[in-house]
Amino acid sequence: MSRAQDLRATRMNEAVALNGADLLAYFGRRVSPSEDAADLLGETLVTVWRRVADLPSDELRARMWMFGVARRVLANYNRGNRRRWELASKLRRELAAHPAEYASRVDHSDIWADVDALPGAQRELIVLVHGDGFTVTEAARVLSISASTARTRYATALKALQLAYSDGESSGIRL
Amino acid sequence: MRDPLKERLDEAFGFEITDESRRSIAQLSDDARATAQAAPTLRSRIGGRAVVALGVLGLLGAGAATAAVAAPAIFDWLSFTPDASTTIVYDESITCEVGFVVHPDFANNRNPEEAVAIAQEYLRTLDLDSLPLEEQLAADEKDAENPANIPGLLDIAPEGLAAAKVSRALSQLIMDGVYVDLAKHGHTAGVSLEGGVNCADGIADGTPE
Repeated sequence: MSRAQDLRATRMNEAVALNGADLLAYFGRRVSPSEDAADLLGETLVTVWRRVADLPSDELRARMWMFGVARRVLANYNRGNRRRWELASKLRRELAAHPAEYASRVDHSDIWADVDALPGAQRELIVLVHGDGFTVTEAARVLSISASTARTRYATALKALQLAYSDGESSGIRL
Repeated sequence: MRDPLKERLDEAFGFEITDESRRSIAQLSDDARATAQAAPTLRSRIGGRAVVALGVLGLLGAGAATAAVAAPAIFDWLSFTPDASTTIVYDESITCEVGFVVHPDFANNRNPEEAVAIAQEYLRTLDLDSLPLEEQLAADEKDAENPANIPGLLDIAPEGLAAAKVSRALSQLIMDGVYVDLAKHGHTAGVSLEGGVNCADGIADGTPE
């Protein structure tokens, strides 16, 4: 293995160490059953390793790049392309025994319902920002949309959520 | 002061990953690296998409509705050599590329060979035309959790949505079929199934690239 390949592998290992759990959480929030997240993470990791030469050197850009791959893997899954990765079987069994789940022990079903009621593009932006921890501008890059579009979409989503709370017609967010 | 709505959203969407899962991710990454290095894309391995279309392995469901299709891009994405692959034309307007491969799952079955053989045989002999696709599509249509029914969730242009729904339904039917058939033969574990269905509007003319 060449020195350049060694370097790329080291950087990829670091990127996975930094982002692997967050990628699993990304899938865990979006798929059911949650053990499917193991296969999706497996597929994402195979893809990023196959494209290791494309890994951005900057830490944040590397994170966004990996989430961009994850987003395409998820879209493929949602279109009906399913894989069960043998290499993900251990993680799959762990998730079956101990499902990845929301950390808070407080009941958030009201706010989840209101976020679910948002148009899909707004909902995805809310989850990227408040679940996956991206800024609105970073989320825009993950979604391949302009920052101004993302800002408008995010503001509209927050307004709708605030309204859901104030008019009490939906499940009602309790603040 | 931070917006209470934003604080509530942060709290509501925080996610917990166990330490055990975190450790497994590192192992998964090592295995993924080995897989990525061992399995270059099908295109690079055999040198051309036309060869993929015309040359790979056994056919799955070679019924009247199947058709030769050039450029099955699905295999580029999946990067595996399918045990069974074919194309199917649905409703005279949507062409679907189908490819599946069966792997032994030693983690859950010490002797998976028989289960693998059964699953491979099922895929090779499956008649896609016999699958209850209309019923599955109707069921999917009623499923509120189906991503295709949630506006804006799928990154698909509206004109591609019908094809995406057929992809999803067909994929579900094939995977369910494999596992039901395995259960009929007394196997509940022993295979990892990898595959994909990629449908698009139009009928391919079979002309290689």
